[in-house]
Amino acid sequence: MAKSLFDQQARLLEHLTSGAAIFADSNAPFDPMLLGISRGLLHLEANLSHQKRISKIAAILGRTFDLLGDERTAIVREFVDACPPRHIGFIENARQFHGFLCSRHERRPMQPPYVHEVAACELALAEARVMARDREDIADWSSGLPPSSIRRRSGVVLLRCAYDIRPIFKKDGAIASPVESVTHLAIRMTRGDPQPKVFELAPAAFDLLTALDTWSNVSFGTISEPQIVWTLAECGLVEMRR
Amino acid sequence: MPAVGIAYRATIDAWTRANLDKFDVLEINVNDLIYGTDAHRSAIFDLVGHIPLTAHGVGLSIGADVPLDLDYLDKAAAVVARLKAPAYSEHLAFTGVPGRELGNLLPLPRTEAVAETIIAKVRAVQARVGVPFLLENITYMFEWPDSDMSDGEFAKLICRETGIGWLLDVENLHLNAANHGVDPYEFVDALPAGAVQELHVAGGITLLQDDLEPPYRLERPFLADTHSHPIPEAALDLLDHALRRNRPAAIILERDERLDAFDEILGDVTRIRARVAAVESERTRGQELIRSTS
Repeated sequence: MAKSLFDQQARLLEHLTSGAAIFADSNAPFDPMLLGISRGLLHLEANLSHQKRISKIAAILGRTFDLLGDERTAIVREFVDACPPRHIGFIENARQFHGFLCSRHERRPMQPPYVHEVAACELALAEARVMARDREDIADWSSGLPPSSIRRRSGVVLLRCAYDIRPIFKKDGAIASPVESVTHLAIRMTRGDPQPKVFELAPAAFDLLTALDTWSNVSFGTISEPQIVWTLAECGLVEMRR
Repeated sequence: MPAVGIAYRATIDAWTRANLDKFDVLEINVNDLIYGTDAHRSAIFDLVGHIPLTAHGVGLSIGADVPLDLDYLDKAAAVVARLKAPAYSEHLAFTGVPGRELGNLLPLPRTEAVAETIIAKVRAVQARVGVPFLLENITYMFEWPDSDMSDGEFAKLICRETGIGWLLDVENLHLNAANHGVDPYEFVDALPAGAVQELHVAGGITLLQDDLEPPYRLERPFLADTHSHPIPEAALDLLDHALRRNRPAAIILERDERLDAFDEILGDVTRIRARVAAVESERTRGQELIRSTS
């Protein structure tokens, strides 16, 4: 039967992204469709592509990789088998790795227990950088008039953590251990900011922001603390229109 | 005379801007503009008007046996227009199939049937993008056993049927010659004279026989396309040959690693300019000879 080009390409990709090809497992079965191609050179291609992918992930999840310590090699190997690459991008690959860490942590808790939350935060910081928009907020919160509708500002990333992981991101060089304490964070970056800004939110503010995916009419009578809206706007976390 | 420049890399943005007068042109990776951060995009668009820019893509995967990614193509076309780039180039390769993306350029089986699929796609791209579309030859680690055409024959067929211009990567030719015994001069000669509109040059590293994980072992040292070191002399000799047959608009030095080796980058640009000047001088001498004997 004639081989279609698509079949050849799909089977090649399957092989090149497999743990067997990347880590030189010569005992693994070899796809007969690839017979005639040097297995050693396929390993070279697979391994170099894998290193490129991992370096993209490490560029975003650097602290996470540090925290994985000696377990990193084994975890990366598991990741390769569970999550073949689907995209060329840094963030997409980092997102896959974060998703993998979360599901692995559910099956088998990892050490340190907040490692997947650090990954979530690093990913959120990277996403905030990418999502920062050209235009500034259209909000004119200073006029004091009640807004007719509000929504969460585009590019704001929300994060609920079981640990307060912010000490990990302190730049003073000291490595502090996060404390177990439910923490609600919002991360945003606006044009001109050198770094994303991280805000700790009260649960009520976090829940409100979570609900504001699209333009919503706000009735101040239904919000227990109306000042929350103004403060969120002041922090650039929501935008308003009349 | 071709414009000589480098591929723009964000990590050396400040150095590039401080040395803009050393280059005639910068090559922009359209993926940086499609997927990059806002700051990254702004930095690149700020260059428009300060120096000519060319547009190079790495994401079309034109060789994948699936319909063209028109969304990517339209984004690339918009970016090319905003850069005021005179042409848009992509690799004659594939990088993935739906659901699996290697992020590296992979070779195609060189057969007439595969060439036909590429020809149809090239025509579709040409109809959709407002500037000339160029294809670039890649370097590859392995070959498909069912290939029955040489690299040159395959490229020539696509050029002949579509009139497409070529982005000739002389380093890739040099690597394929060393690693697979391809005749790089045959490739240059196979392309229609004048087809080469842009050129890439770079330098890489040599992998030794024991650099593979056991039980695999390379049969001989293998040259890798790392864009990390000065251009090898053999690649510059190929550049000479390509320049004698073509009058490209731009020659771009690609550098992705050891980007802080600024002296090497500027040294390579000087070496390229010297080669260009020598070929131009040959050409002028030749024209004088013909004038004096006619």
